[in-house]
Amino acid sequence: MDRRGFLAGCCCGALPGCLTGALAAEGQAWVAPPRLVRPESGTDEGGLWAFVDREETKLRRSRFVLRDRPLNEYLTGIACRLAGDHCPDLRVYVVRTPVFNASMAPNGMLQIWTGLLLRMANEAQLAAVIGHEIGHYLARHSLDRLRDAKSRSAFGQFLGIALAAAGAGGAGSLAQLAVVASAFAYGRDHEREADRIGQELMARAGYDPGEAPRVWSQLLAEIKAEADWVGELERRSVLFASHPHPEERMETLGERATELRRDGMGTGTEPWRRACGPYRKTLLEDELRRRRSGETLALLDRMIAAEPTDPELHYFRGEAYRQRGADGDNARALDAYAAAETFPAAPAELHRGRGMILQATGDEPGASQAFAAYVRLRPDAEDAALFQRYVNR
Amino acid sequence: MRNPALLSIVLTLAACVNMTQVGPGEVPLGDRLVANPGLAWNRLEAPGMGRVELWTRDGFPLDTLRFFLGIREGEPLVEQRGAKDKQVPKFRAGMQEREIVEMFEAAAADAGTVRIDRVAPASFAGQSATRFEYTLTRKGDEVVVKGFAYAAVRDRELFMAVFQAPRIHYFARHAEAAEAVLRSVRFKGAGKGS
Repeated sequence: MDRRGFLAGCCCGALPGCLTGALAAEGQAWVAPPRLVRPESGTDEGGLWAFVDREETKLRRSRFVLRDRPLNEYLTGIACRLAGDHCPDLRVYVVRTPVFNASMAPNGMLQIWTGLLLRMANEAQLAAVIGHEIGHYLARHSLDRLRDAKSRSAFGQFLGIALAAAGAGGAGSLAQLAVVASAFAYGRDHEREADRIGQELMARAGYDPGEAPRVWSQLLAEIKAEADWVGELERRSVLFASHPHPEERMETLGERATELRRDGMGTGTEPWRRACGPYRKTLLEDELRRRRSGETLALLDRMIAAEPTDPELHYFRGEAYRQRGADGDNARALDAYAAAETFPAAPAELHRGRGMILQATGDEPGASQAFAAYVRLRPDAEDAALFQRYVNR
Repeated sequence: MRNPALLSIVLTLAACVNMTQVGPGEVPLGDRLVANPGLAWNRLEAPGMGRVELWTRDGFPLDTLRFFLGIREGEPLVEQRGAKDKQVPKFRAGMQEREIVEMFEAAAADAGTVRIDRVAPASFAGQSATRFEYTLTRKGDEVVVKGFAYAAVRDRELFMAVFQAPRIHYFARHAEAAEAVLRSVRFKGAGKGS
């Protein structure tokens, strides 16, 4: 369900949506439309905006929105680099939900879920996803959806679902979002157009457009890893039923990246790590609780490949293996904890994880030693009293 | 289906749900346990509850005392809608205390954003046990709830009791009474001091 949900948002937008900027024929530069003006309230588009405005009012009060100013200013800055003149019309909301998703409503409400933040390696990758969503917004794809709908009542029902999903309860409505994804996803042409606009916006903002196909390949690797782990492969076909084939999209994005790439473009990796670093541990803890071991391990492998000397990432890999508990996972977890320990400032929790595995495998002295190290380093830990008991035995 | 609110709605509609007053005094908990609440509680009685009991003082959206009366090897704590089998943690008789808490965390994370506030050794129903406290922001209604739980393994089965209520007002109002109920729980045939 989650995967379909995130694709609903990331690739189609939770609220289908909207444009007027002329998407020129292949090979010509795309021209951004002028700023969108609030539609008359008596029109169908006005009704759509009013509906979304109400949802935004709820979202603004949601406990799931991260309000930290530096993070919000940073992400708004990236969105504004992409949106250019449309910047004043965008409002960014960071929603704490460990699922890959972003969506933009026709009124300018832009949601970024924390599962997406965790998965992006740099500013350029986030720009690829947000650029795509801004593409739907600028092209007013949701209005097309509204007018295309064969039955207004069916669309009303869809709106109810979509907005419940996108709105305040947002985080709680992943299942509904998936319903939207399957029943009312943007058409393939809209997706292609949003891909194209998004990548243009990226390049204009100075981001390496080659990161756009990379977002897709990362995503597919995670989906495949999870499917391999749970032993189910048919999810992919359901997932991409209403989209252009991901391979086709990756290929197209890759080809266009070559055309768009210019000297001096960057990925913004260092500022990205600095800005998201303070949240990473919490987001990885949220990720672990999902118990999507295949996805989580694919994600961690990728993160470790990019930052091989980061002890926190090795620690979380250990935790993912320990919690998965498949054949050979105990040994993999111990290796990961050992790798974490070779770097300065390794998380003290690695000793707890190691102790738990040693205890499970009957190495009581080893377990006691590990637990002792944990409570010595983290006497204030929420579970220190539990492990102190083993030390005292 | 162990979501008490949903369960009570569904079963009320089906007209086969009953609320019964239990206590004060001795009350059987499933086949093997007995509690001795000092106050009267309301117990949900409905078909299909399996080895779970739900008690409340003020009503289910407000406060819930939930008993898991013997989760067996390979069984999950709660069923997670939409999740594949391997994505749901299962109870193992050899599970360590912290792993039981992690199993609870994964189930709670399905309902919102959870934080474990404290985990410590304790005693429950005369067994060596774990007591933990948590805070959960429910994604359905965005209410912040606080809870505490006791978990003990006996005869390769997990016995667990969880009290949960909104952080504002209701937790403080009933936490002490819930603690008292849980302190009174014992296995049938065991002496009170066991």
